[in-house]
Formats: sequence, C-alpha cells, structure tokens
Amino acid sequence: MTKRLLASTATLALATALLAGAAGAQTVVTMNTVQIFGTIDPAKISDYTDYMAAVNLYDSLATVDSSGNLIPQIAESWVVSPDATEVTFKLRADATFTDGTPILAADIVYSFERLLRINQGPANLFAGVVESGAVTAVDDTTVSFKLSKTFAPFMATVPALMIVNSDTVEANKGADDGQTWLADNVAGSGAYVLDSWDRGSQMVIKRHEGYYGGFLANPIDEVRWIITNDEATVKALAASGELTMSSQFQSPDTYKALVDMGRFRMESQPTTTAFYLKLNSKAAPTDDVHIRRAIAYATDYATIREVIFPGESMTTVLPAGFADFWNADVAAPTYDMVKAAEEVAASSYAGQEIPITLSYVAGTLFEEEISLLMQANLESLGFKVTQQPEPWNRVTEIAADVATTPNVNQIFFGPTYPSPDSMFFTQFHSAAAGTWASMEWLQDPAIDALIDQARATGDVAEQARLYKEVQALMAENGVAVPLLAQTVQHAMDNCLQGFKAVPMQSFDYDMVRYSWSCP
Amino acid sequence: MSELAALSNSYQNWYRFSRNPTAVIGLVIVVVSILAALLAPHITPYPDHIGAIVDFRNRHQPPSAAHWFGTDNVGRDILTRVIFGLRVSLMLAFVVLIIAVPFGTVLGLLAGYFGGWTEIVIMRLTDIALALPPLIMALAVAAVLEPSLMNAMLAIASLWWTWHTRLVYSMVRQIRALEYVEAAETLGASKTHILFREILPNCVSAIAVKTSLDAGFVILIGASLSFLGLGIQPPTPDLGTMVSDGASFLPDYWWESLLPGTAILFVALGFNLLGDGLRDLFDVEDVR
Repeated sequence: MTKRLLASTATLALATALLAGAAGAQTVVTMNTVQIFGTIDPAKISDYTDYMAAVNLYDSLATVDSSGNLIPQIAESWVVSPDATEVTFKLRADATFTDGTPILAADIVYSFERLLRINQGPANLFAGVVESGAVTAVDDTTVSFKLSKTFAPFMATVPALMIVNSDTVEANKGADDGQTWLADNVAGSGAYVLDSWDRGSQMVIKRHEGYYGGFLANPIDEVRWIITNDEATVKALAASGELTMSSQFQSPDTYKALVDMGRFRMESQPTTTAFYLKLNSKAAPTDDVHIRRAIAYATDYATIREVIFPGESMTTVLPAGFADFWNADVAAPTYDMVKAAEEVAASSYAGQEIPITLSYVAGTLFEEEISLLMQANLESLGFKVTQQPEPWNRVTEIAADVATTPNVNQIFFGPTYPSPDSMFFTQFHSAAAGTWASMEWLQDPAIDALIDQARATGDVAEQARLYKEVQALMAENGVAVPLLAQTVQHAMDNCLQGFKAVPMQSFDYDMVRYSWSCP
Repeated sequence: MSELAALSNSYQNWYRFSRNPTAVIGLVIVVVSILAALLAPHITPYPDHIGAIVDFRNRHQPPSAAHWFGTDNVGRDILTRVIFGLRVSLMLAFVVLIIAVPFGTVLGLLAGYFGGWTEIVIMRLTDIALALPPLIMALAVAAVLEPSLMNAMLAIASLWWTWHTRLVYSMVRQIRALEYVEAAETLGASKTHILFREILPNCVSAIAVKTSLDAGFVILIGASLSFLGLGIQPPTPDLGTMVSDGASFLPDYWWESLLPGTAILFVALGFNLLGDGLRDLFDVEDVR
C-alpha cells in the first residue's frame, strides 16, 4: 500500500517535472516599448505601438518585406488591370481566422467598409482612392478593388487594411460598429492571439498553433511587451535576464551597457526614415537659393552622422533604401566652407550681417548639438544666428503659417506606406503645405506636376524617371538639405534572430518573422 | 559725537556678525559669486566657450588640468560655462526681487497703516496670490506666452511680492501704535512722510533679511524652470539647463550635471546663510 502510494507520488512528481520542462522550452521574447498601446482595433491604429500589436494579431491581404515589396498573406495572388484601376485578389483557400472559421471575400469587404465608416487610423490612405462599395466579393475567395482613379501607390497601402472576422464583429457590434468590443478583443487571423493586456504596463501575446501561414523552425511562443521609457529600468530588466530585445529608442549609453553584459548584440540597420534640414523658401534670408546652398555647404555631414546621431549618408531627398527610385546621378552634398562663403557672396544678402533662425525640438539633445554645430559654422560666414528650441506640439503649430516657420528646421520623415509617393507627396507637394513635414513652403508647380504624374501612372519605370527628376530639381533648389537616413538600433539577445527593418510602420515587429537559435 | 556713536554702532554690528561663522561663510560665498559673475570674461579659462563654439573631438572630457570641471557634450569647458551661468542666476534673482520687494513693501505699508477697506482689499488679494504656487504659475504663463525664462521670472515676480506685503503689513500694524508715530501725526506730518520716513526705516532690517533669503529661493526656482526646459536660448550658459542636459549622460559623465548642480547649491546656500546671519544680527523674529 505504502509502496504503491510512493510509486504514484513519484510518477506524479515525474509528470510535473516533465510538464515544467515542456513549459520551460517555450521561447518567450520580452521587449520594452517606450509608449503604451493606444488601441488594437485595426480600424483605429496609428502609431508605432498600435501597429506593433496589430501586425501580430491581424493579417492583411498582403504584407511587406524589408525591401518594401508586397508578399502574399491572406491573398495568394493578385492581378492588376492594365490601366491600374482595378485589383483582383485571390484568397488562400486554407486561410482561417484564429477561431478556425475560413476567411472569405465577404470579410475583406466588411473590414474595408468598417474602416471607411469609422474613418480613423489607416482610412486616410484610401480616401478619394477607393470609395465605399468599390470593394466587392466576386466569389468566396476572390475580391475586387475598383479605384476611383489611377493611383500608383495603392498596392503599397494594402497591408494597412487588416482583416477582421465579420461574423464575430457583427455579433458584438453594439452601437458603435464593434469599436468597444474590438478595443479589448481580437477578431483576426494573425499568428498570435492576445493573452493579457494591462494598458499601463504590459501586453502579452501567445502563438496561435493553428496559424494557416505556418511558422519558421523554433518560433517565438510568447511575446511580452513591457512599457517603460526609463533607461535605468531597461538596464535592470536586462541585468535580471528578463529582457530579450530593447526598444529602438534607447540612449547609446544603454545600448553599450546591454552589450557589455555579454548576452546582447547590437542590431543596427539602415531605414528609409530621412533626417533633413528644411529651409523655409518663402522667408528671408532662406528665400535666396545661394543662401540655401551656403547652408548646405556649411553643414558638417560627417560629424553629424558619425558623432552626433547614427545614420547612413543620404545624397538626395529620397533615402537610398528606395533603390528603384533613387537618383544615383545627384551629387552628394558636401561640407565645404570655402564654397559656402562663395555662395554667400553671390547672394543678394552679401556684405551684411544676415539674421537667421535655427529651430529644433526642445529637449532633444542631439538636435541641440546639431544646431550649435550649424551656428558655429554659419556665424563664421557672417550670419547672425538665433536658436529657437520649440516643443514638438509647437512645431506643428508654427509650421502652419509661412510667417512663423523658422528659416532652418530639423525634421525626421519616414514613409507611412512603402512607396516613394509617401516621401514626395507628403513633403514636397503644394497640397501638403502648412504641415510639419513640409516646412520648406516649396509650392513649386513643376514639382507638383511631376509628383501628380507619378501618382497617376501604373508604369514603374516611368515613375522612377519622374521621381529621379524630382530629386534632381530638389538638389537644384536646395530647400531640403538631406542630413542622413536614420539607422534603427536594437540591443537583441544573441539567440533571437530575424530582425529586418521594413519601410512601413511596425511591420518589422511581426513576430512570425523571428526565431530562436539557441536550444 | 553722533558720528562716533554711529561708527561704534556699525562696528558693533560687524563684530557680532563676524562672530557668526556661518553668516561670514554666507557673505563670502555671495561676494565671491557676484564678483565671479561680474569678472567672468577675465577669470574664466575659455571665455569664448559661451558662444557658438563646438569641438566634438573634445566632448565628454573628464575634469583635468586643462578643464577643471571637464567638458560637455559639444566639447565646451564646463567651468567657464558655470561661472557665466552664475550671471543668469544672479540676474534673475535681481530682476524678480527688484520688482517684487518694492511693490510688496508699498502694499504692506498701505494696508497696515490705513486699515479698513484698503487693508481688506490688499490683504485678500495677497491671500489669493499666496495660494498660487510660483512654479506652477510660471509654467502656466510660459504655456500661454512665449516659453522663455524671462516670462517665467516675470510670472514669479508677480506672485513673490505677497511675502513682503504680509511681512511689512504685520510690522506696520505694530509700529503705527507706537508713540513716535502718534507724535508725528499730532505735529501734522503728511501721510507720505509718516509712511516712508517714520515707519519704513523701522522695517528695513526685516526686509533686508527676507530679501537675502528670497534670493536663494529665486535662484533655485530659476534653475528648476530652466531644468524643465524654460531656459534661455542656447548657447548662452545657464545652470539649470546644464544640469538637465548633463543628466542624460549620468552616471558615466557625472561632471556634466553634478558640477553645475553644485554651483546652484553653493549660491543658494550662500544667500540663505547670509540671510540667517542678518536675521540673528537684527534679531528679527517673524521672518522665516
């Protein structure tokens, strides 16, 4: 009797140990984010953490790879009509939502209509391009998008349309189109499902075993996002062994401390986020092209890139990451104080003290350093510099009026969809004037026309030709001085593989792309 | 005879003051700070480092013989910038007090001497202004107007007078009942004469003590404001801004925030010790 009890206890203990062993083999990735997750409703997502959660919980017809190319996700293939005004997607027959029900064309139509009805988040990407009713289900696995006009960047915006399960959302519709329900619940087909979410502190997602898209070998079983922007907390989490991957916004000091621990490596990759000096072309003295060129010559690019803020060199207003559209013939701007002095002498402001304002985001140390560097160089050329640090919310305000826009502005801009159109239209087209992204006040009809033509053609070669021409013109008028293309940095556990920067929102944090290389 | 008496009186005061070691330390700190600020261009090793100078090869250098306080994130000498930073701090204390002290004193005199409605109106206004924390007021003003240190300090000055009004009011209430004031009234002296020639001189010692203590507080508030990003325009050196900028490099480059922070502590402490010493000297009771 006693013997049997002992035996069964031993068996039980063994079983428990085995279970614990199995649980221990789960790979958990813990990453910090510097801000909270605002929403997980795919019709409302807007910032980097929103997208980070959404790309894991929901799938789209297609997703984006690190070169900005579309790769099939729910759709297995698509056909674009010759005039580029109709796109027909063929869905995967085996695609299912995480509750096991198949993804049908009706779900795509429903998700799109819901996005337009709520009219937040990614809805603006489709505004004026695809109207309500223009997305139709041809049969259960075929869906057609009819565009109101030829809009070349349309395909690049497709990944932003994330697909919800229409039956589930209808059942929990409430009075607000399911917004209340989808704020805390997920009705998607992503590789991961929501496990827990404490709005102020963390979000945990778990791998959905039955994911139709499949996983890499040794996939990540669980992802924990811990919300903290405190450098000391990040270091403490790393030291305790909890942190697997840092956010991309830590200080150089923290990265160094983490690498020194031995468990982490630095992942550093070029992005298509550009950093510019935007010069107000409608205010004295930067209304003179010679003064603008003088500023470009007086910029110490190497020091900025190598000492102050890590980045890749940028030769035109378009980061080289847009390889097919990037104009290799445009000469890179150079640091040359002699030529800068010549340009000043050739300007209409020659021979006098030239007042100029340099603006940057207050409290951002590296921007202040760049501004001081510019001041030192410009004052030696006879400029009278006024530094104008502004909090970010005021930058957006002063950018609305040409009179309040400072002469020189340090601005970061990255594409919101993987198309050069996102870079050109949003920054340099007259329609975008009055925003922080277009503080140049360029308003040049020739450039507007080129951008419009590129948007209206489906021919990629023609687009490339047009965009290259825009880059040449921009180098000529000198309103935007390209400083660098940002480098994205993460301290990452040596066992975690798969990070590749993607030129669209947070698609690089889709954890299905990652794997664990240690036993 | 009276000159001799006056001389011996001030000598006695100085003797009593000089027997108080903390007071003397305070006086020395204040005098040294003011002299350093005035003579900054002549005594600092790199006077051009307050302007548009960057030297990225020499950034983040620890304290050494060439740079006693080390260098900051763009390679400027911190000692030079700290000494020039004293100018901003002392100037701000001066601006606030030159506005607040006379204004508060006059209101206190009027309220204390005339009583009645004058008193009620002035003292209730004082109570309202006292209820507003100066730092919050400065941040609010900065949000409405241009966010500059000068606006913030004007906002502080607009609240700081209340302390002097309260102080002078309570003293005038006591003094106005004294016989020499009654005598002056009987002789037909004008109100102005009584207020400014009979009563005010008897409040001066208390006001001096309070002003000296205030200088320390105003310097601290000014530093807090620039720490919060309401500092003056770079590259002009400012102690609070230096502490705030340097804090992002803690603990590795500790000198970049710790040494300017020590300078703030030093000056604020100097004014406080001096104020305490004066209080003991004049035997003023009701000044904090």
